[in-house]
Amino acid sequence: MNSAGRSPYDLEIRGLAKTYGAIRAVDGISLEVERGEFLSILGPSGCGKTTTLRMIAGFEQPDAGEIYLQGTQMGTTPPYERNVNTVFQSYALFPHMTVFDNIAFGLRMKRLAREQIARRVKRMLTIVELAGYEQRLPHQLSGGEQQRVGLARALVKEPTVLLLDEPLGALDLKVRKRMQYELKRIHREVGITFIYVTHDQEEALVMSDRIAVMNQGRIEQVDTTFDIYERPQSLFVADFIGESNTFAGEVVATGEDVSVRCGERVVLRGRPVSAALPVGVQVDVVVRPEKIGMGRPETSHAGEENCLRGWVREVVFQGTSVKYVLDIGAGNPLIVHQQNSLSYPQAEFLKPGEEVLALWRLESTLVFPRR
Amino acid sequence: MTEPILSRLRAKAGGDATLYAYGVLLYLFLYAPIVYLIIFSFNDATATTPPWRGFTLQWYRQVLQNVDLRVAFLNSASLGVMTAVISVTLGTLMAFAFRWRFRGKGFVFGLLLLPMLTPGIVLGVALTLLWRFFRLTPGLFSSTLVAHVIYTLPFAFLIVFTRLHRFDRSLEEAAMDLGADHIRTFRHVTFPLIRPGVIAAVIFAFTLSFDEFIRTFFVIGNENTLPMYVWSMIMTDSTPQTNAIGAIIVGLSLSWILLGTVFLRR
Ligand SMILES: Nc1ncnc2c1ncn2[C@@H]1O[C@H](COP(=O)(O)OP(=O)(O)OP(=O)(O)O)[C@@H](O)[C@H]1O
Ligand SMILES: [Mg+2]
Repeated sequence: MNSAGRSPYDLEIRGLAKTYGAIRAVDGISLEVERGEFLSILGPSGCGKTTTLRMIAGFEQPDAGEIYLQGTQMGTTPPYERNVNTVFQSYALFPHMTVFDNIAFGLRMKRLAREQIARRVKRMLTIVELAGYEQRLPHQLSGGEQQRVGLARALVKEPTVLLLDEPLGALDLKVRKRMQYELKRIHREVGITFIYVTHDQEEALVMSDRIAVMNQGRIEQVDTTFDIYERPQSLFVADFIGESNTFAGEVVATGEDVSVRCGERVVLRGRPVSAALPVGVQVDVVVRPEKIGMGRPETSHAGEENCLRGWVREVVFQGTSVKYVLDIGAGNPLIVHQQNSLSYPQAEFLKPGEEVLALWRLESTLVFPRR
Repeated sequence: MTEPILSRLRAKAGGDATLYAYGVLLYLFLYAPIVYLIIFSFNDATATTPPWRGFTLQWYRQVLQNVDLRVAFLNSASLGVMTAVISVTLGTLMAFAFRWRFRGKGFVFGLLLLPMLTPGIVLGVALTLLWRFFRLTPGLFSSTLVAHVIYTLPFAFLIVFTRLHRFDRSLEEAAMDLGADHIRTFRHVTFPLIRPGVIAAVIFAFTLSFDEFIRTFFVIGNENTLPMYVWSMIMTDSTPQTNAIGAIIVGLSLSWILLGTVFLRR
């Protein structure tokens, strides 16, 4: 296990745990990350993302569990001897050093030759598109530029794994969107494994190969972005990623799929996500707003297993889509997103008070046992 | 919100003659003695008091030729340097200790700053008694140095502590992340960033020691420092030479303090 470089994984975590007093910041997580992968750790505030990264970087000693970098057990190896580098949310650029000196810092600590340092720093500056900024001081840079210096400073060391703790958190939306794209490009260019911490689900979806969703110190699910979105394994994941309609109910019929009664006159059919669910079990039913179609009440609809009569309560025009809030008598209202494919003056949107049919397929209905 | 209130206050103060007079009197009160001292250091007379008999630099010439004075000055200067080096080194180390959490931190902090508020005479008496108890000879680089270090240490500590307190720890983590061990992190990141505070502390400790009188008076023994010398001079034969010395000390102290402030602001 400890012959370096023979593991197929750049990073392996086994049963990692860290407690602060009574708080279980990280509560036994395991994870494998492949070479060159872009993995996001996603979760709400306080779920232990930063603590996990800090243990990988070596700033924090775990109470239990192990970390392997390319098969080498880290144990108590100090941060300066780990082949891992961090991009800090606060940038943490050295304020008394120029951009060049900031980026060169890690290479100087390695005691590389002067020309080699200059060459690698220059190449890095080109990659992050900051050529010509060598002699600036950090306070003479914008937030986005500082972030790129922070990135260059970490990447220039060519670490096995690059850790990024909400690196775009402090940037405004526009710069943030551009930096997301930049980060993806840089990731492709350098081919280094990225572990990216964020609490922005959209960002995680856009950027990652895989996402690890964390909640209260544990990993709820690790999967490709597609599976995380389409096949969430728990209500938490379904709720946290994207928008969803959730209805509480009770299983009334079971088989390959289940029927769930949610309220007086509503029975929804769906697929249980894990084990078979016996009749009488309390469950949560989840359906995404964009999976729902709408039809006129007088027409008949075959092929859509769920077909509910409802009334339009609210219409919100959102530009590329239209959001409808429907009353279906199932506890919560039903939210439906429809692509705005209408071309003026062809048709009109539905109006509040109108009666509609809401339709969606069995496969789009996820049923989670109540925990 | 505050802007109109401030300008209204200013307008009111500007129109108020009593307030204006008060201000003038206050500054007179604060600076008149010093201005008086400086003016009469140029007086061409043997008395340090009016009337004014014309301009001369002879008192300054005498100052430069005064051997006892030179010895006292060198004593004060070397004592100041020693004091500054010792108390800033100790103060910096203690400031670093306060980065860790430990039991009774607040209490220890208060204890450290207490000497700032202790009357000089208390320290003077205490050290005199201590020296007597151990049958030691009081002197410049024994009892006086100890007194000065005790006196200046809280100031040095406080200046460095303030600097270190608002220091962003993630900078040190970044350095270690990039391969610098603890020593190199200190050398390349921590120290360069607290250096202005350390320099300010050195300047302030030196100035405090250079001007110190009460504690020194108790523990100096047979030697002399500049303030001691000036005092004895005034008590025996007072000429405008004393004024000249005073003016020089004022000038030196002011420029030191100014320099220290520049570093504090950095
Ligand atoms: N040094 C510490 N001392 C005590 N508690 C801590 C410490 N660091 C973290 N915690 C606690 O551990 C839990 C996890 O913290 P962590 O910083 O890992 O969360 P996070 O997922 O990064 O959150 P955020 O998205 O807000 O950054 C939190 O409840 C936090 O209060
Ligand atoms: Mg965090």
